[in-house]
Amino acid sequence: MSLKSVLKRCAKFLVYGQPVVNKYVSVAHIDDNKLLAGKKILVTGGTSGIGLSVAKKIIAAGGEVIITGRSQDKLNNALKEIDSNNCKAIVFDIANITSIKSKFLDVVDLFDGKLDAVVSNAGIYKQKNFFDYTLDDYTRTMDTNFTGAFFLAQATIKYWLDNHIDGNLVFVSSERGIMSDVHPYGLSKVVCNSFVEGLAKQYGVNDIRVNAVAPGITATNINNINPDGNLWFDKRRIMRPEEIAEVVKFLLSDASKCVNGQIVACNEAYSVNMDC
Amino acid sequence: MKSLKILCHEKICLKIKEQLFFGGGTGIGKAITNKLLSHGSEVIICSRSKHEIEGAINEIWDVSDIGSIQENFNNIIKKYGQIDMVVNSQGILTHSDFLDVSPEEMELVFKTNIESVFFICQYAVRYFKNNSIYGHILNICSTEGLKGTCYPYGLSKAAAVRLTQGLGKATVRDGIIVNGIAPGATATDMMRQGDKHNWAPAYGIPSGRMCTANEIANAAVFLLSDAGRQMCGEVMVVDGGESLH
Repeated sequence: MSLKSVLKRCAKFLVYGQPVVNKYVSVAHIDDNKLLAGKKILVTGGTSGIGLSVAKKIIAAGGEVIITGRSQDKLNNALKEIDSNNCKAIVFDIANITSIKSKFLDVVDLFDGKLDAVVSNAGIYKQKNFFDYTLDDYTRTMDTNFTGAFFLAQATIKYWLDNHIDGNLVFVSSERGIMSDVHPYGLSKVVCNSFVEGLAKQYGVNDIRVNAVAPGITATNINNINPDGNLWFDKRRIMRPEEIAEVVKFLLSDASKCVNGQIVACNEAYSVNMDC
Repeated sequence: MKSLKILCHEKICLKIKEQLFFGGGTGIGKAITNKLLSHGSEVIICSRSKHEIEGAINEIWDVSDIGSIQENFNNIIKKYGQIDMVVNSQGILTHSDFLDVSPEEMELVFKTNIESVFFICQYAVRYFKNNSIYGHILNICSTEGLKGTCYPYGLSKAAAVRLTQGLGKATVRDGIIVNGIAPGATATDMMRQGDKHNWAPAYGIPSGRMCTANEIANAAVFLLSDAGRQMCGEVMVVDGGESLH
């Protein structure tokens, strides 16, 4: 390094107060079945629907996964369905805010002290007439869909920062979070999307990536639609959970290393506003 | 605007410190109240503590106690008759770092900034509909709610913005107008709590200064007046250009 460039850097540091950072990235070809090789990933709400599909995709791509759910029976069924040594399960109610920190440590222990990525997927869906929502409906939806995800993200990012891990956080949000809404479900997802962008901006410098998928109506048991049945409803197509899981897999992998703070809508352009 | 009764929630502040501050240290709620009073409206202020604003009626009501909203709402209608407009200007701002946010802080901020707004809107819209009143609702949101954030204040305001837009669309056919204002950094008591936030925000604002509460109140009066009847679900940004890219 010449004296001139050293002086230039010193001047830059003095003027802007920021040290000059050199960063090098190499992009290699990644085989599909090794996309998540060696990665240890937590999937909340992994007993059914999108969460279960994501867990299956992770294992098929060579990763290890821990699924969480509220009931042991459902977890056992999911474990049986996945049928792999790379899948473990733990009972974890995300709506129980005070237990999140200790449960998170249990998850890290189960993974032998290393966690690479988290898929924050657990959510409930309850739709009523706007005038019929009670305080209980509101708080249950908000606690599960957002507050739990917030404190799980807090615990996770703290762990990644302390252990200098380039973590990867993927939220399963909803297209409802992109549009205006009066229902607690939609509002919880709005908050989620804003949170994803904020986290990405704040912790991008620490090489932590935060993204979200925003699926349209998806054929899961949250809305009792059979994925093998007719997938045309109300002038639009219903998504299959495997399709959403594919996008989550991409966001989890190093193939999407340059993607950060994005809400990827998976709804065939339904939420694209063409009216104005 | 004559003889309109307006239900206005005074701003709730945590740990107010007295100090000389740009703009005179008045909350947005208070500025809107004064402006509306000067336009000849009747104003009922609902707040946690007593506020002496000449000409306005003061009711003690802690909006973060969600369970009591319906009862308080009905009592006020019984006591003062028809209500034509509701202004939600309650809000709490906290300054914890993301990694230090506690569940208690989260709950308090969300209860005051969005949960109370949701249920007050629910009761107000139902009341307007049942009584065929062409009512107005105005939610004071924030520019923090229009961008990505990982702090409870901005997150709660993000929900408030989308709720305002959603309600604006859903209720305009019934003649109920729901709008919002997204103020940028405004010189109020709430901004005064964190010392480090005192003057610094002014540097990032293209206009070179924070908004004053009166400027927000001017926008509020426009949105509440019949001049703004074709505006629905609009969240008007008043921030001196701060949120422009």
